Amino acid sequence: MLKTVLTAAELLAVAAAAVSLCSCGSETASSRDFVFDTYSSVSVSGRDAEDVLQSVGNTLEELSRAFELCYGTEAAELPDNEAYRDCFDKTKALNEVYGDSVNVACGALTELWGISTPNPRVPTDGEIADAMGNITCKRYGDFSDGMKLDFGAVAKGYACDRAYELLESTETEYAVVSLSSTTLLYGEKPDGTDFKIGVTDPLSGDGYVGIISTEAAFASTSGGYERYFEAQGERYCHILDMNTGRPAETDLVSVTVVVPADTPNGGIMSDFLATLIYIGGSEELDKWLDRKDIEVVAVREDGAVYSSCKGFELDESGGYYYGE
Amino acid sequence: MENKDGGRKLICKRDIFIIVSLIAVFCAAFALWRKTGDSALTAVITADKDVIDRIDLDKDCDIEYPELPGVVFRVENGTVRICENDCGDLTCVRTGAISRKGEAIICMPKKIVVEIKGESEGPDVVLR
Repeated sequence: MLKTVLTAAELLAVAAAAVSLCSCGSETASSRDFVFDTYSSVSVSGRDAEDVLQSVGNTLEELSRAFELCYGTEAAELPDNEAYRDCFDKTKALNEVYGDSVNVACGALTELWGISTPNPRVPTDGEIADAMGNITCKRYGDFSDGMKLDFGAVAKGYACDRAYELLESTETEYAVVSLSSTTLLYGEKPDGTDFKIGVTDPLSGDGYVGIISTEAAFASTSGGYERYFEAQGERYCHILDMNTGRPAETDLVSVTVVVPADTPNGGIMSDFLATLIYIGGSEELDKWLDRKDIEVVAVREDGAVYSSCKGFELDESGGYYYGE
Repeated sequence: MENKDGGRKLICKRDIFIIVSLIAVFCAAFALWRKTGDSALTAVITADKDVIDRIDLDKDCDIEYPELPGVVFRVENGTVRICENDCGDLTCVRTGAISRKGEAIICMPKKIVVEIKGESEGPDVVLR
């Protein structure tokens, strides 16, 4: 009798131990920080998750500090940093294919408008023309006097690429790197389901326009709905169109671009294209929706949503509807 | 009385009692764990990564904290927003009210984050 009791208790103990062992096999670690002028969160699951998390965090912080230094510093006076050259060259490669409306040699112009600073202002046409004269720069190091770099439109995407490289060298099962407007969804979730991305409702700011389900990917959202300033009754968004030197005049309020995680430099591509498509407005949207290598969800100011994203589910409770 | 030779049986009544009660304890613990995971939505307020407060969104009120002067949080109809802030940036005020898991309000100048937690269903990440 006593023997059977022990056996039953032992069985339970062994089962409990097995269950706890299974769940401890891969660790999960997460952290939050303020980098890239925003709020970031990273979570990592897999072997040595704590160490991996630490190195991803360090990489993000180093890049954030390096890119921040560019604001207000003349390009010619920047310290030698491989990240500047690398990010510059990768953006230039994108410029050659997609044009110059997003450009990293635009620091003088960003500074002139002072958008995202406490004291933004509308500059004169002359001032804009002067600052625009500085934007033509074909090669890194080919800087004219007064030229400043601004990696704002691509820095987060670039950082996600670097995080991806780092994760590839580890035994990470899955990870989520979130830099607010750009994210890296890495690996595969333990239950095998797709990652779910909530795209913030750009008009009310509460809730989502919809949810994107996707396998491992880079994703970026651009919109002028959160950061802007008003002067003489006009609203100026924080995204400058480098073709005009003025804040983007667009009928879109939010553009999200999803790029598969195995795309080389997919992070910088998603960040760059989200801004470029946003600036281009709904008129140029069709050619982006037709592309097979990226997925796009765009929201127009009247609530019409255009999506080429297979895993996108519109939340109609927010008053949004599919355009056309 | 019928169990005279119960010692030979693989499982006797007492074993069944032990097993059943252990299973009951596990189930109760699991249910409790699920319940706390599924409880009503909570907004977690942090400043420079330190948790200032966790507030339930089911009671309407305005909240101020001595450690966060100049900031007023408003809980209304299951949502929370920053309705006043002297940070000068005001991106946080423009963000408006948030109510779903994963959503957040961020004030960069003061490093304040208000994040909704508590619901088990929700996206893995939110793009904003």
